[in-house]
Amino acid sequence: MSSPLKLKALKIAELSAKVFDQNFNPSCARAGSKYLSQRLKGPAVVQYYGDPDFPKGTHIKKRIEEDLGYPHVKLFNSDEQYRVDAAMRKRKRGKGAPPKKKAPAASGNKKKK
Amino acid sequence: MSSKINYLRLPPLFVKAGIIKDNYVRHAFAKTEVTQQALKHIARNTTLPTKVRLQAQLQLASMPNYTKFTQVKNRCVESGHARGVISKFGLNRYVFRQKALAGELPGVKKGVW
Amino acid sequence: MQKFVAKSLGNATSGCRLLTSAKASSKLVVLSQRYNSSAAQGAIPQENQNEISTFNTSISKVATEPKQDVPANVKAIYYQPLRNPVQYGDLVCDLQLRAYDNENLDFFSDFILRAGFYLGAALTGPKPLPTKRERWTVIKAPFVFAKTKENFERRTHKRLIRVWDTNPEVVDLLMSYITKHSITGVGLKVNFYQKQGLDLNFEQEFQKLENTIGTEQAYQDLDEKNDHISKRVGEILNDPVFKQYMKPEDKPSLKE
Repeated sequence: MSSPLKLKALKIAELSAKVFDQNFNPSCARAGSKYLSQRLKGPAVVQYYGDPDFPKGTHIKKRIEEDLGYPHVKLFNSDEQYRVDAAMRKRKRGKGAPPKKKAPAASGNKKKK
Repeated sequence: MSSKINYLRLPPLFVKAGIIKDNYVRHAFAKTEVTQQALKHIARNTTLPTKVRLQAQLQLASMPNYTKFTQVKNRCVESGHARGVISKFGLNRYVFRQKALAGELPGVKKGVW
Repeated sequence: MQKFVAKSLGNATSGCRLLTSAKASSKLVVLSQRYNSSAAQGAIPQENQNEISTFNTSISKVATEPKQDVPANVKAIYYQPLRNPVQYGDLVCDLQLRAYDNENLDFFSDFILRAGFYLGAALTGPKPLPTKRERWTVIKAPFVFAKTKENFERRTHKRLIRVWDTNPEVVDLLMSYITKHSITGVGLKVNFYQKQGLDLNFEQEFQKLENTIGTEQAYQDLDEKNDHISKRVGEILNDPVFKQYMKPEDKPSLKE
């Protein structure tokens, strides 16, 4: 450290650190500066599952019809339509679900047991 | 509008208990990230008095586990499965395969090499 | 530098004229000469002769021409895109196109070259960049049977188009035109390069920096991303729990 050349090099390093906005740390002391300069990852971590304000199934219709102002837009859910059609076809053939009983009958309970 | 964050709010996806828990951890981490980094900086900074550093380390250790980034688990966005998740898509291997074969992942084709 | 700006502005105005008015500017004449080879040679002005010869050698056919007589600019579509020559080699911006499929990619880069030519910009490319291959091997079955796997692959094709010697306004115009007519499945990344004069007073700036080092000002001038954390550090160190252990001479320097 004592030689004049080394001192000069040190001075240059100090100046260059100042110019380029770097840390000047000749003794390599652990100053924890890494934690100051690290990027925050919180916002990205929270976004993993997506936007919680994304409209859910039934809300999409309301969004489009009321919020966005397209009352005449007809939405078509192909999966739901397929289910409804299949159920109707089954009912026509007499293979549909049995009709609901209006009151919980005592006999029904007995049968289950 | 209340400033309180509802940690249970999630976009429309297949929700499992694991996803709700993970979502909570993610929010808790994002909320405390700045404090954690500041405490880490103090604790690792050798130019500060030892007692200050020790205090910082104690405070860091006393924070609950669910605020730590290590507790965050990348889960499948579609199925909620915690294993075999392909991080680029955030999908479990099986969901990835189904979607890729259905052509829902742009550019992904059956590989032949 | 001044001279270059004036030159490229001149380029730009002539290019814009081509687009907006029906005036027969030199480039249009060149086009008609190339594609109506039977047209009289004498009709072309003397000063354009050199330009014609350069275009003649560089252009090659990419599709069969239609039989009926169509305007020259329509006929140009049947040939490879025309280019304005690079004169000064001053890189203004580069465009990187990315797609999973090379069809749309090649079509769009062709479109960009044509749009750039008529705007008077000097473009080079499309230079194919290395294709990125991502591969995944997954287990076929949803549960166990790990011996049976399936391979998936995604290839990202890339093309590089570079813009030279062009006025920034023309580049902006080109960019807005491209983005307006962008096609599906093609991503576009643009880097702009700008040159700045050295009329900054360095001595003064350094003096300002020197004066702020070790003051509150230095904290405020820190990068935004660091800002929250260093502020929080200040708050924590001022907390009575921590303050009792801080000796006055041990206060950290603010530059850290």
